[in-house]
Amino acid sequence: MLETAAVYWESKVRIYGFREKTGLSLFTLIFPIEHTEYWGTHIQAMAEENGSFDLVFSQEINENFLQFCVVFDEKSGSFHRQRIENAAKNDDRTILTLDFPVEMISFHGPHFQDRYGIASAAFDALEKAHFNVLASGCTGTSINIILPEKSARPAVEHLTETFIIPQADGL
Amino acid sequence: MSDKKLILVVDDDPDLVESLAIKLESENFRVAKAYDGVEGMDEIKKERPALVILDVMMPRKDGYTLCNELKNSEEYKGIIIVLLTAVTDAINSTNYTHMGGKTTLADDFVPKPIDLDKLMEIVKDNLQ
Amino acid sequence: MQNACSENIGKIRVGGIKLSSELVQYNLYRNTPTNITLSSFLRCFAENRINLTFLSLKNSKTGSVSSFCVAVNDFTRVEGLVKSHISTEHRCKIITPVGTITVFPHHHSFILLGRVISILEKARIPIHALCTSLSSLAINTDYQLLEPAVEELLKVLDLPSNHAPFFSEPDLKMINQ
Repeated sequence: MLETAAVYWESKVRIYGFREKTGLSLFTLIFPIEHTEYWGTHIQAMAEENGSFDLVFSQEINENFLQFCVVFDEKSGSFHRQRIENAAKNDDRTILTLDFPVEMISFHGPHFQDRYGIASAAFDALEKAHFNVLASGCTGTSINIILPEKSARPAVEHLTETFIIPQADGL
Repeated sequence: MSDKKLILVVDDDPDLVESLAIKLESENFRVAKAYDGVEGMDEIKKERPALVILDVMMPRKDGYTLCNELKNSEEYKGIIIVLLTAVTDAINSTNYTHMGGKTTLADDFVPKPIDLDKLMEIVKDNLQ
Repeated sequence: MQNACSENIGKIRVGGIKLSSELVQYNLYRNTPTNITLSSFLRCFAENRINLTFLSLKNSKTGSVSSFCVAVNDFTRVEGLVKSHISTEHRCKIITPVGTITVFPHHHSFILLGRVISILEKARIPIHALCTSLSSLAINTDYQLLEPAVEELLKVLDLPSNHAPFFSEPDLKMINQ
């Protein structure tokens, strides 16, 4: 079976639009890899309390530990904070940190998963304007960037010099 | 039975399907989703959408083929089809010849990417 | 430690699962306070037309962790670029070959996320990295474990009956803009 893929470079990268979210909580858990199942069941339990996430990513810190990051909106963050803190207290090898409030910019575009230079264009634009990127997760055709409070709007203004949202008129 | 019109989104990019679904639902449409032309045809048979937003480049069955199957079918030719075309596939009319002689009978087309608000206008215009 | 919730027997309906081709995952660690955004790495990859299929980054007061994936065919070129860019402050781990399992849509659901993580851990299938997009959950594991991982996932996930094959061969289009 063939799957379509496209590789090309645009001087201004076309996207479907920016989404900005403010008042978010970024929870970071560092726990032993063998505790993954324990945290998996706690994550499921959050769903039983009508929780949902805005972004999740995990990374291996070393051979033994995982770093697991979850971004919640304000309502879900305050709701789940107690559960996560209690679960972390019951696991004395887990380290929990919370960044609040943080903001997230998300955008996506055609064939981003196949095209070189997309993340570079985004991070270059932010670095040139001295934005402090707290975290980022890019997969599929999506780019998600976590920034400190009051940064998302000005960051989008800088990103619009690199990324454009085409209109139907004049095409 | 809901009065909301059903729109089927067919694209092999799950992120685009999701963002279109969010936008369409916020505009009071019901949304069905499929991730290639084969799944798209099955959804059309099952759900009978009023309009299909259909990607061109897809695995298993591309958008041109699915579009032409629908438009040549007595049963399905009334379903409105808006083709999503990729950067190099931009065209300036429907009923056109493209991709090595393939023709399509789509009702409308939209080059990718496009502002989603603009796409909503095109969807609403076609459903009037 | 006690687990938080009981087994839920119903499968979760998803739209699909895709498996990637062979990839190489780089984990880069820097243990000094930093605001680095990987810009110099990313610029270098872009100049060399190397695509990153996956990227995650976490900066903190004590350092930074970043993970990215490239196609296995780009490994030799990437190896040289990484070596020329990392300093003594960096630690680098290479995992090869890895593959990405993409499950979609996730509906921002903790049930889906929790079950996927739990079932893979229970089957001793490593999760080298994980990241969500707008609609998809992407999980990196050993390439040779992709199909066993799907077998495990299908114990908790329900796919459409007409689902496409998990692997696909890219039909590549080079477009000159």
